[in-house]
Amino acid sequence: MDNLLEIKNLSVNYGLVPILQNISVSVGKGEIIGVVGESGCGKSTMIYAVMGILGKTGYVDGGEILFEGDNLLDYSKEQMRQVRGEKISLIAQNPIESLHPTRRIKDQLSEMVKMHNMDVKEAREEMLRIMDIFRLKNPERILNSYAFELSGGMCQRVSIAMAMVLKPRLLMADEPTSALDVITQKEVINELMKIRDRSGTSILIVSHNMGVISHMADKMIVMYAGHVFEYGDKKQIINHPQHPYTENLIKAVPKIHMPLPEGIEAIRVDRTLPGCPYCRSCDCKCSECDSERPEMIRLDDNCFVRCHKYAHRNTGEQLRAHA
Amino acid sequence: MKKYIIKRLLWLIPIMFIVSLIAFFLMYLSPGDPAAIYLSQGGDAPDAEALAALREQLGLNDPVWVQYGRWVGNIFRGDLGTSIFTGNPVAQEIANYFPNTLKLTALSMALTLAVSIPLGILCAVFENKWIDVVLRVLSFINGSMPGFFIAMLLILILGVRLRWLPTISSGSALGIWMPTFTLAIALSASYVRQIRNAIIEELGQDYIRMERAKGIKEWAVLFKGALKCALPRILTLAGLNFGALLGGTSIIEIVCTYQGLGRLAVNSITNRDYPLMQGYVLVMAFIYVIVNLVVDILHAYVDPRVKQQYMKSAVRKKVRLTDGSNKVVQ
Repeated sequence: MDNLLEIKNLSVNYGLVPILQNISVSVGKGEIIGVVGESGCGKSTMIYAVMGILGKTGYVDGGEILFEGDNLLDYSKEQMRQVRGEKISLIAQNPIESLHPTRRIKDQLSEMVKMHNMDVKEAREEMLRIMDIFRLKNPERILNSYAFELSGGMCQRVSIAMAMVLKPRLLMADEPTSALDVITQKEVINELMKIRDRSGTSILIVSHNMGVISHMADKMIVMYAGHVFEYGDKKQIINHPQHPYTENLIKAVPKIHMPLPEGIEAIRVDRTLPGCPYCRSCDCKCSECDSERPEMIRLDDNCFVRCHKYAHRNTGEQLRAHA
Repeated sequence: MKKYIIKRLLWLIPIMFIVSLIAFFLMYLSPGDPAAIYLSQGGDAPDAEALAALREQLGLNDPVWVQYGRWVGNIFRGDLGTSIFTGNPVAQEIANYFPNTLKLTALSMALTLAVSIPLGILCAVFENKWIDVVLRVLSFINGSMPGFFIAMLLILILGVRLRWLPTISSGSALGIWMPTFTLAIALSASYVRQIRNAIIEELGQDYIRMERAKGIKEWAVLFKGALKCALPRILTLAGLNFGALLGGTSIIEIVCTYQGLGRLAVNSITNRDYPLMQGYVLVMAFIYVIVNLVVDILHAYVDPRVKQQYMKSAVRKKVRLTDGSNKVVQ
């Protein structure tokens, strides 16, 4: 599979604080990649870095972001603007706050469409069609509304529809289901997957919700304190997590009829310390963990892990046999 | 919306009633006998007979409620009383000065906004860059100078040194510019700061990030996005100042020798011209309430959220009708 997006050794800082450190991830055409991790681990920052909207204090400290073979970091501001919304689009975390508070939805839509020199009428038709698929009643009325007149779930579906109107090649969804009830969540997930199946759009989806990721994603990225800890095939990661953190993360998912797991807690990590950021909470800590940053180790074609545990092993096969 | 305006206009009745009570009784309770003041204008002590006659003529011997009733009754006939000092009707005195004040207010407000909106945006866009720091320091210095000091500086520079503007404002076509510049400079200090902060706050919102993510050009993000949302706040600020300025800016009017309502008010106080003072307070309260109403209506016009609040009751009814249920949409 060709890679649509390839992030190579990307580091991002906010001011003096390193937020992302040496991230390498790729998204293939038509792939759905799920990103999981605690709040503040840099999931959203990764998305903003790809789109070039890190804000005033954020900047890229090294690495490459290749989109269809071109390094986006070499693009001018104007080139980047053209990419945003048209080739790469974003579904934001807070649906209501992410729509302009005092402009009608249709005005926001047509503004975006005009900025990309597309036909407003066509885009409107497309928007109505997508809204219909999302089972939004009275799509015309919604287009004439302001964000504050709609519910959170409606706003979310409207923003997803708006992100898809220009048929982007990569859809980046930052917690797209957090504002939705379980039933609507399911519908939206199914729709996102249908979009992928129909138009081959790649989707990078960030979520706290392990269930959403395990349902949707082909591949999975596990992030912790600005690092990618594990990256690979979803099934493999969920069924045989390699990194101690991933193991704990999957254990920590609350399940119906089960008591909440104990002994797993979030710890504030000092990102400037040397060594593995997870070393203070890790069950399988070894002597190197305190002093050396682990390298990304390739276990097999579908699995990369950043942990000292695997530094001295040669292949993943041995590991799995061991496990 | 119409309902809302009518409701607000009806509120004028109790407000004006209370204002009229305050205006009347403040003057009634303040020391000094108007008749005595009127008669002693020449410098001589008034003789007792003339004083008694005038008191009778002015109705000062009647019970206070009768006096108040007569005053209010006259107001409804458009008669605010007669100035003790000039002998002209109060309404005419106010009408003479009001156009000057209105002109000054409108001009200085327009100038303030024309200067401080662009500067505020500039500061916000270049937050903490040199241009922002320079402008903030300037506006801080400006903000710490009292208005009369700015007026005197301007008179010194524009009037005396450069001779571009007359030092005395009344009786000259260019005269209005001296107090206008003074007010605009004095107001701009806080306006630039507040507009800057409002825009910076908006620029940090999620919808701005989203607009950028949609590939909206930066100028549109700034003007159609952030400025549009900051507009209600700017409007509120301007509205409050507009109302206050209409009341006259006595110190600046006096320093610049401008014939405005502020000067009239101060004169009426020094002359103990009670009818004029009462009339002034009443008219100003009325104008202030009206200006506030206009600002609120404009507010609803620029911010649909506010409009919805005004019409909330109407929306509730509509939902009940279409659903048949009692669901209330907020």
